[in-house]
Amino acid sequence: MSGEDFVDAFDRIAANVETVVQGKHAQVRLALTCLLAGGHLLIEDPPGVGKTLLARCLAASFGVDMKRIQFTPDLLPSDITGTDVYLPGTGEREFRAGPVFASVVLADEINRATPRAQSALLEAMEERRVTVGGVTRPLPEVFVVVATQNPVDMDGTYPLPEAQLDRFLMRLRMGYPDFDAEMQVLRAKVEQPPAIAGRVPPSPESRSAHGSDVLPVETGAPVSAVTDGAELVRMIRLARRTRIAEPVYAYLLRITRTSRLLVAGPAADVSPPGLVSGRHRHAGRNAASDPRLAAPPPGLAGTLTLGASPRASVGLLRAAQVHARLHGRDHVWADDVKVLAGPVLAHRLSLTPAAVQAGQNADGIVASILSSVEAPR
Amino acid sequence: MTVRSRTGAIVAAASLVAGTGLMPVVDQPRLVGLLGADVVLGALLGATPRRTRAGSCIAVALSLVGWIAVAVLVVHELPSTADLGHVADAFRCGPVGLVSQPGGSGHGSGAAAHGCAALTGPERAVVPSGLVWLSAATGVSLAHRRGASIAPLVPALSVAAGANALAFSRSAWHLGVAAALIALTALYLRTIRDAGHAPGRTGTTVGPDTAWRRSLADLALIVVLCGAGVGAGMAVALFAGHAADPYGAAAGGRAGADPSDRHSDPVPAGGGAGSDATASPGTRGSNPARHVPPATHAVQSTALALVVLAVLVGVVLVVFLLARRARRRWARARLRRRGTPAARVLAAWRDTVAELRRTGLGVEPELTINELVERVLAQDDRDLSRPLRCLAGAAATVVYDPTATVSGDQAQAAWRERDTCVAAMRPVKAGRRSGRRHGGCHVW
Repeated sequence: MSGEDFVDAFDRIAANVETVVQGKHAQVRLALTCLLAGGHLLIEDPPGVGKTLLARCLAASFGVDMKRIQFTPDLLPSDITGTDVYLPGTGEREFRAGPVFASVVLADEINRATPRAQSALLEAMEERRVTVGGVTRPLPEVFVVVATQNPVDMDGTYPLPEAQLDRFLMRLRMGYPDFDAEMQVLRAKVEQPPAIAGRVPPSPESRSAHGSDVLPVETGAPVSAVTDGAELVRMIRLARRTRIAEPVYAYLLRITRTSRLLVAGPAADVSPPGLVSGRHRHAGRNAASDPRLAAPPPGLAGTLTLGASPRASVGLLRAAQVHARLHGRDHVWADDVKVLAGPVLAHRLSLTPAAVQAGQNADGIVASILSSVEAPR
Repeated sequence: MTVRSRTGAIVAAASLVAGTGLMPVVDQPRLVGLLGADVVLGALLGATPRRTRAGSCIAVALSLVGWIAVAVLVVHELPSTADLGHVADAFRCGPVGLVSQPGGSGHGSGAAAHGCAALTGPERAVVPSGLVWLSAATGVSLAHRRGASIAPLVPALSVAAGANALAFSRSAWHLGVAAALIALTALYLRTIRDAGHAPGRTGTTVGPDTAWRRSLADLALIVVLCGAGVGAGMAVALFAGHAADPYGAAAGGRAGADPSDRHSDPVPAGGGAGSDATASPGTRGSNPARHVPPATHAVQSTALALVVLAVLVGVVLVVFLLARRARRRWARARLRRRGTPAARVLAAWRDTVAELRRTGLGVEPELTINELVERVLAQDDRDLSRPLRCLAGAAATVVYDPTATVSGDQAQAAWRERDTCVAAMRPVKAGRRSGRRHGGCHVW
């Protein structure tokens, strides 16, 4: 696959999704970037703004096997991973794969399940394999989790633990559509009869259950697969061959490591003098004397309890590679890193209660970090 | 904090300083007022963001101490009978009123020759404060331009140093305070100006060591400037007759502390109250000016002193500017010829960015190459678009593409684009070469 083919395929998928998800150009492209970087996507926003719709359209556009899990409080880990079933006829045990064994897993309302059920995804998301009954089974080469959650209605929900959040490459917020986009949505609902509503390729189980080749989608707009798994794999592989220069590596690391300078207390592995004491002081002094590190943004020291992890650095790198390819380049610019720093890093930063009370938010802190780190030029 | 609010903080600080000098003259409640002013000033200085932590902390803390020291001086040595008329006299007479003062008597025959009332005690703080305000205001423009030369500060600082040396010419300690005041002012303003501008190579950040080196270099420069300023001030004092008693024995420290002396007998320049304590008899005896009428002598001395001061300041300024320009030109010529083609392309780009910064365009270090181009083109409507985009594209390839290969011709083309950019920043020259080249990129 060439760079032009990559751009063509990307635009084709994005245009296909945007036939249904209207007025969300940036979000659609960011979501595609995330998935082509091989990362998992968390879509967070109030109800009714199209989170699930975007997730379903993305999955449908890929033309790969898709499973949907509606997370509920009574969901069990085995409902996700699958379980061994005893067969009375033969006396043997047979593994019945759960919905996690799919290329695209739509985890709807993920924060409504208990932490126990949420944890069933930890191994799958990071290591791309599932261990059940002592047997480890690999997941498909293309495996992405697209999860949605509602940050407003928190009754009966279980906030995702940091370890789970860190496994999502990006967090997107849809936001309300603008006037014209919402008008188009209304028109589409009226003008398109439900019988020809959007159709997505069903999974084999769905096909057998419904006896049909397609499943109606309640979106009101058709979306069909415009690529396949093989092309998806080629795109991912091409993106990972995107070159990165040393100054860009350093820039990326300065961004993520600067977030760790803002961590208050012993959790900081690198902290400036004065923020830590006792046995942590030595490490802090070493970090502060590192000339490759930027000074933390003024007034933000101690605002975080958790900074960006090395996994975040890797994720930002992967996403930047896709972003560079998307713009027809075979090497990453600092702009690629900068543009994606917010969606990749913000949900991984954990703010202290004092910072939250002071009106700080993760997006603002990432912006401050970006404005304090010198770009290579 | 934005540039606007930072500028506001500096203006407020400078105004407070000026107010500190004026306040005793208008006979306000001095101690409480000055303490309040210093508290506000401290808060403003503390709220100013710093990039280099160590240097900025020192600058802020010492600046505050310097301002407070000046305020305490003013409080300590002011008589209580000053009135608003002194302020008008001070502004009307300006430096003439100051330099015509014998070193301790409070009489200004030279000023009187110009129709100026003699300046004594409190009003002598007005002009120095005004000059400090002037230097601070110059610094405001520097801070706003973010990256402009420090050269415009030199005359203001020199004049302020000289004026302060005159106002506090009663002892070496006062001279030291005046010099420290100017040094700290300059250090503070320079720190403001450099906030967010790392001088190092792209791709590096300002670490503590670099910050310390920069602070020390700034301090050395400022010490030199202050030395020149104080020297110029002392020269003015010498020619005006203040040197007769630089460490005068009059009580109260400041010249003419007793306002009752203002209308006492005129004293020839160089022979003020207590001046005999340090005046060399030989010098006095051999001075032909003793036979000149006092008023004429003072006027001539004042004029000569001002000329000397102006010449000194001018020479320092010209030498400074010429040396800097020569050093830049030499460095640029070297970068243009030496190094790999990729390094030469980068040098062309970075030199262009430095020129943009000197022009006053916002080229903050956090901007990427692409962002910088967009920011500059949004700020500036001159014909920079084509050459700047071409040069930026070449630089981006060199910086961001680890496998980029650059030929010597491309490096030369990059420098030509740099020249076009620099020419476009100068409206007159750009007009001359209008229509000269309007093609595509010559680099890639």
